[in-house]
Amino acid sequence: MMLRRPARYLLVALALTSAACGSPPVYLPSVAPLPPPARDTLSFSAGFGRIEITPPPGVGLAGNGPEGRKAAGYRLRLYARALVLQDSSGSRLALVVVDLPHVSLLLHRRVAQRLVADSTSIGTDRLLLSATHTHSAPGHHYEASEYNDHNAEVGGYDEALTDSLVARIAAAVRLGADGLRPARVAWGTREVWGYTRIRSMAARERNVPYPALLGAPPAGLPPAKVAVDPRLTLLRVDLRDSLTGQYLPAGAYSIFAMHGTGNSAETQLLDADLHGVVERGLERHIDSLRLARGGRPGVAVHVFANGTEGDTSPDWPADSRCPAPQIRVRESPESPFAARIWGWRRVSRAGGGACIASARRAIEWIGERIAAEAAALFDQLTPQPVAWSIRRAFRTIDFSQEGKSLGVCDTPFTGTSTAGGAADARTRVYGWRVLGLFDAGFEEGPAATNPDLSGCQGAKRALLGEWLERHVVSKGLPHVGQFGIYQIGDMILAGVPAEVTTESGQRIEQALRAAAGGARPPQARVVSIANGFLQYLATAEEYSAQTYEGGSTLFGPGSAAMVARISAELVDSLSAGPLSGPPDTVEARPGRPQRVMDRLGEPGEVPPSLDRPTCRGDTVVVQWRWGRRGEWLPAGRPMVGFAAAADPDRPLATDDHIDVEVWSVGLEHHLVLWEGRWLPRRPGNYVVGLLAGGDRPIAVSDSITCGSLRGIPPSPPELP
Amino acid sequence: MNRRLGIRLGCCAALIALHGLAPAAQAQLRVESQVALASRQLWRGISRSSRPSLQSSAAVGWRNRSVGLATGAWSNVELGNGESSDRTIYGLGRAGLGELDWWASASVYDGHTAITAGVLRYTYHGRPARGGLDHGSNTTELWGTLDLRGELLSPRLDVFWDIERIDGFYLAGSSAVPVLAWPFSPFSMVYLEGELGLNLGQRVHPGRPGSGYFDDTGVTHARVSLQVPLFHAGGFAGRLAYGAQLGFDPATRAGLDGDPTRGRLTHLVEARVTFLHGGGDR
Repeated sequence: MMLRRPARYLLVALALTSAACGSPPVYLPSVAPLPPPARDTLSFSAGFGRIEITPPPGVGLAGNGPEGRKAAGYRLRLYARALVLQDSSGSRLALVVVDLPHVSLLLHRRVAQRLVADSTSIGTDRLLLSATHTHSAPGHHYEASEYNDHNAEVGGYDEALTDSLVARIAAAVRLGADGLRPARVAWGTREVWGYTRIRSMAARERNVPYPALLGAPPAGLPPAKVAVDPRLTLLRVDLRDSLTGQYLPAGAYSIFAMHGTGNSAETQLLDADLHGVVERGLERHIDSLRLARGGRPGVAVHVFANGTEGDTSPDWPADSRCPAPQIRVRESPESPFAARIWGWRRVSRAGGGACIASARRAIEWIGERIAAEAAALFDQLTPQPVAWSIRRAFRTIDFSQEGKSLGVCDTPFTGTSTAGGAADARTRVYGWRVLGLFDAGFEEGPAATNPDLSGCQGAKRALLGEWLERHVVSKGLPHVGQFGIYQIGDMILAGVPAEVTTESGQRIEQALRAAAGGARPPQARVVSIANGFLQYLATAEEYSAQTYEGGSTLFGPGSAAMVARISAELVDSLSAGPLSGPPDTVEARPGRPQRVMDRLGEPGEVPPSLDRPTCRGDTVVVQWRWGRRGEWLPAGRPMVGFAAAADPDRPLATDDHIDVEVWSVGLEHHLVLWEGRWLPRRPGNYVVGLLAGGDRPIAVSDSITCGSLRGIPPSPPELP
Repeated sequence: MNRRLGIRLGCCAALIALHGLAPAAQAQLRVESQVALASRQLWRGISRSSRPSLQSSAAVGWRNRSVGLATGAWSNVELGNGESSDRTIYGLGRAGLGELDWWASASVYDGHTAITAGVLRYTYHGRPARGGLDHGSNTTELWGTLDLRGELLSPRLDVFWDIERIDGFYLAGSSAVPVLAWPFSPFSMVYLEGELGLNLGQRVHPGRPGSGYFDDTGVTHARVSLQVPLFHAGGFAGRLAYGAQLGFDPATRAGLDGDPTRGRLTHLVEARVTFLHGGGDR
């Protein structure tokens, strides 16, 4: 029995009215870079930068829609990593990846403004800013109010958080620009099979012609694992050491297609997720190579971008997904009088602990293996001195003005399949039935498909009906996209502001290669979630299936073909010099500014202090007091270290390690009370040092015996 | 020691015992209190007070995986002076506490099913001279509940047996179904709740006023109420409810006594704030 439209109208009518409420506009001009600096080098140069961007707890963990939790602590810290390249003409390009769920156009343009103000010669068109797509990091920075408001259980556009992110991302690029040195480089690709899978096979199999394999998979893999884009593409960069003159491994820029969803939506920790493990894994490897050649360790940077991840999930086990909240009567004392209260009920703490722990193990297992593949590829490559030119082409499209002429819709619509979540990440409203009987249509496939194909959005059944989508919901969705093409040697990168499905990416790459032409066409790769965020990009065939990816392709079935077309057109205008055409300005409405992130509290009344650790189950648990409420962590520096009692000066893990989770559990004397939980790899006698961002501990705990080989962390602590 | 004092002392002892258990089992301790402003006091479909009233309750419960204990109290304060045609427990002419009830229960749980048995003591504090009920009307009931807390409907059956003054049983079946769910924070929902009452012997016997509550045996009333969330912050939840009741038994009709054609439909409006600590729900 179906009662789709009325049910949907009723369900989210209030959301629409809230979206319709006016909010002050924000103007985001593009910025043309200053003329290239005077030629200060004859060689191809590169420089790396890395700046921590972990905000204080309290922000929403974006990416899982309203299922995203409010951050209560952190595990692997979040960073902005940048590789700045400069050719012999002075033409520069910044390849930047941030440990965030998405990059917004607002964030991209504000970083570019900051970089131009800092005289880096890197403007809007020379900044390829993309996200790893970890779903355990904040949003609150979008130019579209719907994404600010409904991307986690904590919503709102936060100007202070956005400004902090902009400053830190720009600082990472500036480090790279300031550190430019002659470089030897090499591109390479390696197939990585078995760790990812296509989550929407029904949609992928609709493509005509049937998608070709993108490599040679090992025998025995199931179809969903064979259909992925297995290519790990990597640019190895060795830099000339200023003291010795020798070229030492310095870092890499790589692209691999994989959703940043190692963690379940139930997690409450800020976490760089799978990509954080891969980033750190290759960085440790490069540092070991540097050390072996007499170089300084601890400086390697792995800028790890996401490829065509739109329909590609990590191959985590099913028990790593926590069930979505369910409607239940709230449990209360069994009284003959109490009125029963219905509400959403999350999984129990114990159940949540089990699925979160399973996800953590999967992140470590998958991440370390992909990191090993990246290290093997890095070792395979022989960096060479090159005379590459760096060229780029860039276009901003306002779909409300140009959409129809480009063959797509002029108004963004979300589909009913968006509300129910992806095949492996259902939301609480998936399969929702009004009165338990009437299907509200919040699911993928036929229930989400519009049988009347006459409209611009074709097979998409608009979430709230066409009128409400057009006049209310769309006001909170993005209308402008930025598309960049960047040529580095014989590689063309396409920065697409969406989550590109595997087949959409293939078609874009084919269009780029065909447009470049020549006897030896360049390679091409798509970087997803780059320079902005327009949700998904599915092919027309995939769109017709109205799975989550198709329902979230905002501008209709022609979107992927449009992006392939304009990408190919941009190839003709690739240039190292100034761009033609005047700068543009985007008018955005991110929503009313709100204080999502805690503002800085009063200074602490007592110095930082460390309690005696305890052993709970297999886990060393310790509390300490450090920092004001709302204070950012000591950037890139550990707060605590866990060490063997016999060797307290060499921490086995710090609070930026997958075995350590840190929770903000209270406030004492105006200092944040933190609780750290470390899972030792083997039983032993351990101490904890409070580093508080310094090189030497300001306090060292008594020793404690703890640990086992089972490796299952306890449930999260009760939070205030 | 009379029965009334014994029940009160029993409830107090249970409260103290539960507080003693609390430190050892913090996660299983649940405390709930409610304050409601209601347009009338409806009890088993009967308008016991047709004046607006302030109803408050407090309960504390302890539960491990399969067993639970709980105790609490419920009170009703009639507001305003009332009019001569109003029904009342406290009495007309001024506002005051009309009823204070104590209860204690033990439950067993199996998945989403709860079976509860308890004792319930009704005490009345009104002024008989002004039409109210006093201690002479106090009584005690045993009650049992089967509660199926499923994802939908969540039916519940309550059985009450007066062991002091009134003969027979009273059964109440109730259920609720979510109608609208807000999929974004604060994740509240609107739901419909229904109740059907069945009298099995609690009728007034001819010549014995006060010997029962209803005129007939059988279905007493049916009520449907729409529950709308107002706010949800911390452990506090505010809701507004509108209920419409169809009275089948003459005693459940809000109109004047003795006229079965009037007052078949009774309206109830209620604003309620609940504080609930523990239970792990959101």
